[in-house]
Amino acid sequence: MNVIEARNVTKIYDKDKIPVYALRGIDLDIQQGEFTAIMGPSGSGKTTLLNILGGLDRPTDGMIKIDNQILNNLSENELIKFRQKSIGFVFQSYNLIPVLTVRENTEFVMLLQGIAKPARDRRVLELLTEVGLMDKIDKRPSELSGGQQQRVAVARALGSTGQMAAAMAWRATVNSSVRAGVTRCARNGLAVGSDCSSGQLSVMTPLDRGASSTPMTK
Amino acid sequence: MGVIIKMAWDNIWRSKTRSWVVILSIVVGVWAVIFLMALTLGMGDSYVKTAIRNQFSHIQLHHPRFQEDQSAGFYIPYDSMRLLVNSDINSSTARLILYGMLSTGHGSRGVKIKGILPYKENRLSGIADKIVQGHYLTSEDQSGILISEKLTQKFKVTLKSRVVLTFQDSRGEMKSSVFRIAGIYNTGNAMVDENQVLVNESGIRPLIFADSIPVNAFHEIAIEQKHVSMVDSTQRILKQQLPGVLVENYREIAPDLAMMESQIRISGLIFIGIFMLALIFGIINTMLMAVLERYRELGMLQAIGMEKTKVFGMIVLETIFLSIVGVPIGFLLGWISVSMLQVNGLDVSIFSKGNEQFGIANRIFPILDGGLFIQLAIAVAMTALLASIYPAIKAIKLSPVVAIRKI
Repeated sequence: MNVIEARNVTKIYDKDKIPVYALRGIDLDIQQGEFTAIMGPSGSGKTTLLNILGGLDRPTDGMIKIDNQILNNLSENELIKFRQKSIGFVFQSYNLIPVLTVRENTEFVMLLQGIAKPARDRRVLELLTEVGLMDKIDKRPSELSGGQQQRVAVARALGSTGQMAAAMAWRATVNSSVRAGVTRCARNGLAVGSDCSSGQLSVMTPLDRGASSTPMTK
Repeated sequence: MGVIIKMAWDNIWRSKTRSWVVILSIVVGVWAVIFLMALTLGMGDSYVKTAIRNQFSHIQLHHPRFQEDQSAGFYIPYDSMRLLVNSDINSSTARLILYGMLSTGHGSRGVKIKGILPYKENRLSGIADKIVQGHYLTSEDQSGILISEKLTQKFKVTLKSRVVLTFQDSRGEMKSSVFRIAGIYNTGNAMVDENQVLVNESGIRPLIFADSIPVNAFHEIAIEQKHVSMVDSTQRILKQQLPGVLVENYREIAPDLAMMESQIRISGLIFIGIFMLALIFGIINTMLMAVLERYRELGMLQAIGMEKTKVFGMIVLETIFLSIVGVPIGFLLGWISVSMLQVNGLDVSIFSKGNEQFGIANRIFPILDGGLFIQLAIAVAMTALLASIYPAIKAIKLSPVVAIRKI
């Protein structure tokens, strides 16, 4: 069953009235449990596609359907709700909330979703045990190393009850626990990665293939 | 909601220096408003109290036509024992009032001649303490006159000089009499001092009432209450007890006193308004910087699903927190500085010439007004709320995808 369906997705940026094609007629199907890496050279549109699939951006043309829900029709607020409920984001520079502890960062999306405290607490402990950060549970991001922050970001993305984790622009520092986390995410649902430029994430082939904006490798 | 409050609170301490600059400006502003208002209230209170004590008392009784005609024939009976039955009355006195002419070898001037009951007058107005030369009148001193320092300077007269008072008696006939200056006083209120002289009522009574001399007939009865708050109730009772007598409180006798009280309130609101106006731009500037600095973070929050209303609420809360932190500190400083000044008062004798003109004492005792604290707290919170709107709109207007592109 297709969880993600993209049909003829086009994105045109209108820079100084000169149209720039970031995506040109993308068709994409991703199924439940599938682990997909989107690769391509710099400027080929990987991030644009992932933004559109994650409900952060809207295509100029074409249709996006996720979980039988057509994103094109959603209002701004509905898109926010969609992202909150269905997508777990991991950003390249972790982007944790600096004033919250590891525990609070991990449970933040669950708080937004209105999950009750006992369930939230249980889930946070599971996730932090999984990414190996139980000893840092009350630390703030500024007290963690880059790798540790990235693991918290993964835990936050996995904490969401959503089915999909969108990992954006992973850097070479991705370590084994992140790999484990994302693999687990893939087992449970679906993971989509972009800009994988390191061999350390074994499930993603470290290649920039071709200069076209459309090719993608599964 | 709890996590939003926590984030908002912690966010204001991320840029400590910037936050403290705003907080300190609020502290100084709150302190300044409290201090200035306390001084203004103290000044106003001093003006009102001096005017009540020296001129108007709390309540005055007159013949209904006396004020209008200013004729010696319109008198009322004075029964002090009956007045004192009212337990709210602290003291009372009665006066014969004449509008006449004071003449000396160096000129003459229209004055209000008060025929006083020396003992009772002093109990009510404390005039004996204002004598700077000579002595206060005694009941035996029939031809003595008390005159202000200002008038002695103007007419180049001294103690024991003779002066002539000319006035109309109760039948409208002109009468003149010579008085000797027994004492020179200075109430500190130029307006009062330049326009009145005091003589013994028993000395002037035979001149006013030529034929029959009604011993308890007076033109004015002045009443001092135990507390100013009792004025209205006593006035009501007296009106019932004394039909045919005009019973007025100090606000009716001197509407400028009532106006002074309301003007002080208005000036307080103006102080607060100016302070808030200056503050609002400072807060907007700081919060805009805080929002623009966290552009990516706010974008990320929306990207991971934080609703716009929550982002908006967080910025509003941050602004309110930032603003109200300074308020209690300002309150405390205001309270401490005013309390310290209340011990000895603020010496404004350097401006005493001007103060005398307005009837303000040379030492001002500031007054703290509890209501001002509440007004200020509300004003700061409202200003913060107003100031937060633009930065909060900026925060929710940002596009997460533009912010994310930078991540």
